[in-house]
Amino acid sequence: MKYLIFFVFSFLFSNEIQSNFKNEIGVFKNYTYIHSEQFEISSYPIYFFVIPNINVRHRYNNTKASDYLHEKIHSNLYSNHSFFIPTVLLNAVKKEGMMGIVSPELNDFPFMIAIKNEIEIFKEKENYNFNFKIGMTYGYSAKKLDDPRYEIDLPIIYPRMKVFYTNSNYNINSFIGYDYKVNEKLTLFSNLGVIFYPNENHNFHVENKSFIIWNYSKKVKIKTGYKLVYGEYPFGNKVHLLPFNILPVPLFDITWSW
Amino acid sequence: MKNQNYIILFFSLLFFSCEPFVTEFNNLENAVMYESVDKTDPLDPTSLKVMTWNIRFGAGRIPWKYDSCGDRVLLTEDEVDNNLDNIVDFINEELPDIIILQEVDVLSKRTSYVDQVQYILDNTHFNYGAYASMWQAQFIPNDGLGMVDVGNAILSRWEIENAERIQLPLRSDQSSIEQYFYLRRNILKTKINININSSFYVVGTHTTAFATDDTKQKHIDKFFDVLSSIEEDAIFISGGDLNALTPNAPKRDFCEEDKCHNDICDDDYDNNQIYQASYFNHLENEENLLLPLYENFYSAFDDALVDDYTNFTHSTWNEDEDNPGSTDSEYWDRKLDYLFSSEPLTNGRTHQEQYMLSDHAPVSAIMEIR
Repeated sequence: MKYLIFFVFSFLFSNEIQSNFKNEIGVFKNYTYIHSEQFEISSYPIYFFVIPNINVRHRYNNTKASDYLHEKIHSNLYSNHSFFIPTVLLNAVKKEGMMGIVSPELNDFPFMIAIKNEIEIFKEKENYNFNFKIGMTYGYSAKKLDDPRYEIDLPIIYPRMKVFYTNSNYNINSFIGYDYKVNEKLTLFSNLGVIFYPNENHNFHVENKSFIIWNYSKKVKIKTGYKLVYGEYPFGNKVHLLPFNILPVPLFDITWSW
Repeated sequence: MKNQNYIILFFSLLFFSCEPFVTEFNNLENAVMYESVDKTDPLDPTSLKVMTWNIRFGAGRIPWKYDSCGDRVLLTEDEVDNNLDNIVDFINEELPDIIILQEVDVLSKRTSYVDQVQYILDNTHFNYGAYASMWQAQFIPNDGLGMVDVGNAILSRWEIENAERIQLPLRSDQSSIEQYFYLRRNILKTKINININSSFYVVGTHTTAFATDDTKQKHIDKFFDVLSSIEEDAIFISGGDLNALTPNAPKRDFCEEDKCHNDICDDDYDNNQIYQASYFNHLENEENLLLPLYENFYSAFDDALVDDYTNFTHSTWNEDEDNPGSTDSEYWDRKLDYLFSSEPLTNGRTHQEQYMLSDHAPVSAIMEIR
């Protein structure tokens, strides 16, 4: 169970907070490398060997759209492009006994890849940041997965894996994030993400994550919060408040920048 | 201050709108009530045909990993539909007035999330049902089992006025983490309006199979207490899978019958796990476990018949798979399923011919109404 919780937690925190340093990583947060104002790359390096994943963020300058946004709402225009390949990880949890998340009686998972592309508007002010993203995720599976027994009916995981299983192998996702700097030491963060499958049953999933960030030093941040998830699953619609549904402790992470 | 109240209200709503991953129950709770989509008018009864049956969550004789040395965990949708249709066909053939069911899935990944109580209600003559879960978890991270909701049910032609889920003691021979994810067995007690002068109760249970401490004794004692506490002028029928042998059962060690390929029957009853459910002598004087029930209530079979192999109700797996129709003493090897009543029961019958529908045979009897 503890490995499952660890795995889930790893995906709860992600890369919404803009860092002022070139490198940032957390216990659970992905590693982000800011190459330049125009280009940054992020990944979960620890898990890369079982679930290869990379996200690239590109800032647009001197284009009609970016100039318009900059002039009208003082915001920058980005695009995000990411992929992940869960095959190795899924075959690892397809096992007997504890931590057998997928039944071992099923055949091995085929090669699968999810590719996500998003447009992002990012507004940065002295005391707050705001960003809005909208995009689409496409899933490819080398063999058709039409047996529902392959599904992992868990919050957070189900809506992200569904892109491989369904006849509608794409989803539309949107995201709003807001962080507010209360003072030098304290920042509040909250976001809302939606994943929607246009041609499927159980097609609507909403996730809200909020946390308090203690800026322990310029380079170290301590975060704590929760993730609230509403999802439509094969067994009905459910709300989960994580991790309180599993453990009586809040989400927690420490990040380092350099 | 007003804002603070709104914040407290918001977070309270958040907490109470969420369900824990494993459901724990109070000692006494209302059971979940069901109704069939199309109702049929029941006649006023002069006698009732009652049946108890552990339907093994509609898995038929599929070699499931946890009870029959198999490697199957999740059934396909076709397998579930096919097995449930066979169960429904048998019920429609026998037409019991009341049925007491065990191991009914209502929302489990292993059975494609089919609500089996509703399915049986909608495809038989029954109009009303009550359900009490014995294992309700949003996710069991073991062998890909996933979500589970399985329990006891009582289905009736007549309206169920009231239904209670009475918690049985948890196994005390497990670690706390095992206990948290494990079964929470119960007694389902219903009061049914069958248009007679007396109150009429139907009580069902499924007591522990695997405990090697005194949990089984506690379960049977509680079952006896619940039946004994029913008011004197009321009548009742009760039954279930008691996971206990009759007082005079000729054999109490079924290791050889139940063991899987790698198991060894070494008489180490305390430590060898194969003996958990296959050895019926873990308790001191375990042969007396069911005596109070036999001594105080009427049973479906008289003493001469109850230990006859024709009334055996269980076998862990289908040994005669290649010999269809063979249902002799080699096939069914022990009696675990019982009917007890406040009134005399006649025409007791163990339906051993239904050997492919479950690992338990249905037991039926006729109850005369005073």
